[in-house]
Amino acid sequence: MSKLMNRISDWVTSTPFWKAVFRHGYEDTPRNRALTTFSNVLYHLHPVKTRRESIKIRYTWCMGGTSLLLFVILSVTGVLLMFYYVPDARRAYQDIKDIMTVVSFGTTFRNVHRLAAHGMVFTVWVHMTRVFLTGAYKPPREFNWIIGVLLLVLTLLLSWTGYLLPWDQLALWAITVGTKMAAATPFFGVEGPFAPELGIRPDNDVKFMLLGGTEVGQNALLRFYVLHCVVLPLFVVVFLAVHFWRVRKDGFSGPL
Amino acid sequence: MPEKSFEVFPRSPKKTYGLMELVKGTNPSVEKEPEDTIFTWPNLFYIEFIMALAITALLLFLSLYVQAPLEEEASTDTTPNPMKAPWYFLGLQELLVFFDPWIAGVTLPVLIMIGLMLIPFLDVNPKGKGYYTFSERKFAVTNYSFGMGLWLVLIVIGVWLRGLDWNWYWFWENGHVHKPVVAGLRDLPVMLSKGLGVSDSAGKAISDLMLFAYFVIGLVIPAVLFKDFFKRLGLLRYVTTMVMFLIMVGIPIKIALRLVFSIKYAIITPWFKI
Amino acid sequence: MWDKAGIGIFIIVTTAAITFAIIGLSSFMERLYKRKDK
Repeated sequence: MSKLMNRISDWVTSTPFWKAVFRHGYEDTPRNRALTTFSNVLYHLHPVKTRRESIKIRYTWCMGGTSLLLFVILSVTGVLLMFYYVPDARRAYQDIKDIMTVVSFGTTFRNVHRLAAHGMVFTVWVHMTRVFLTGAYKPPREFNWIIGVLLLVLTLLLSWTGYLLPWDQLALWAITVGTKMAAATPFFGVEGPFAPELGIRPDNDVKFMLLGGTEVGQNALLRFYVLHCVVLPLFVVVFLAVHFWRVRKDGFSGPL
Repeated sequence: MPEKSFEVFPRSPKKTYGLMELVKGTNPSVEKEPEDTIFTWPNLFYIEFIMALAITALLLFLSLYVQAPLEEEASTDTTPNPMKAPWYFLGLQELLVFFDPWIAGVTLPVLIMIGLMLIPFLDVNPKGKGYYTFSERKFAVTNYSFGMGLWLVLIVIGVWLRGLDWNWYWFWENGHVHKPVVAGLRDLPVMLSKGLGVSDSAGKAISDLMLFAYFVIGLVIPAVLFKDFFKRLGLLRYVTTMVMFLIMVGIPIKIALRLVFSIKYAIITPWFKI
Repeated sequence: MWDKAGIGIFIIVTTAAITFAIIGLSSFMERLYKRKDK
């Protein structure tokens, strides 16, 4: 029986189709190990060889990788949720209720999305602490640290824009508090210092720009939806690309 | 005499890569030697794979028990009391008790962001790069930990110790009972002018002077006491570091002023109050 | 008045606890690696 299986697998792996897709085997030679990393689109984001410390969870705490994983999970569950949610103030709340009750596995996806969201804020913060405690921001890695701070801000903004979408009391008033603070921005907010001198009015300040109006309503919901699902994730992807690029170029930190 | 030419990188059907960069050295890592490196396949990938499986499993398991909240439909008629931002913003919301919105909501967060971004440029200590140490970088780790401590204590207060009307409720107190409104917040300039028996503008001048003195003393004393610290940083770095540090320490000081002396504003100008 | 003192003590103690927790973490990791190197 196993001899037959062996013969079948030998034949399959020798067909031109297989060889076109999988270009090398699994022999454990250094050359093959290098080829595996080098010839795969996701793997080749990694270097072929890396410092010993990078696989020690004791050193890295695996927080950066976990943040990335959570971002991917959020994207996947987010897209699934997008199939059932319309950012219309008249039906958004009912859509969430439908997801929680009628949609198969809807509760699971919504719960995973929300746990991963809070988890990502936490893991990004722990990642920052780890990078600080290992001094991995010191020259030549200063720029990557700045990119990291920007990613932290984007993570918080993503979480905050997503908060409005269920359109329940928690959402509406949390965003109201936040935009009230935005209205208090110096120079740009109608309730901040120097507003009268600069001609800032309720219909042309930064709060108006955020909400598309003077109160948290339909315009705000649509804006936050677009920010949450399209604009901010695009920014995150771009900054992540730069973040990984810099780790490749500067080398993973870690003692000699 | 004709030189024998040879192809440095001979073409081969098996090769799918090309020349990416030419550097002096043995590998692309900056300032690192190639010893003690290991292949990413399989070592790193299998750890990543296991972590990915574990975290996904954990998320799926937790999602069975931890339900995402959904309160009643949004309505501008009723405001929930207390109205709390998500936990990661509760630090800012708690700051709103002690500072005006333009400081608590905008200026301080921006300063925190800028301060974080400046860390690599203000930290001139060459030690501690790529390994854990506290003894070799006491100032940096202590400052970071203190900043984190301040930030997290505000979140802790916002999550667990604030109840109706944003009053302080201890863990054991009944969160559904309103507390009496405590009046009696006063402003520092007014306090000074009344207490010292001087005019209002003199009271303002004294409070402005106190702020000025805070920064001047905060900038001058460490430079005098820790001369080599000042020399290592240089003037620009030193001033930036100390100003950021003084602002950070100023926050618990302002909180203490509020708690101990019931002071609402310490500095009053026609455009803003602190 | 005692309430205010309680609040102040809570803030000071919690801030100190978190600060020293992070410092302690850094110090612990340093000692962990020193033991490994020996």
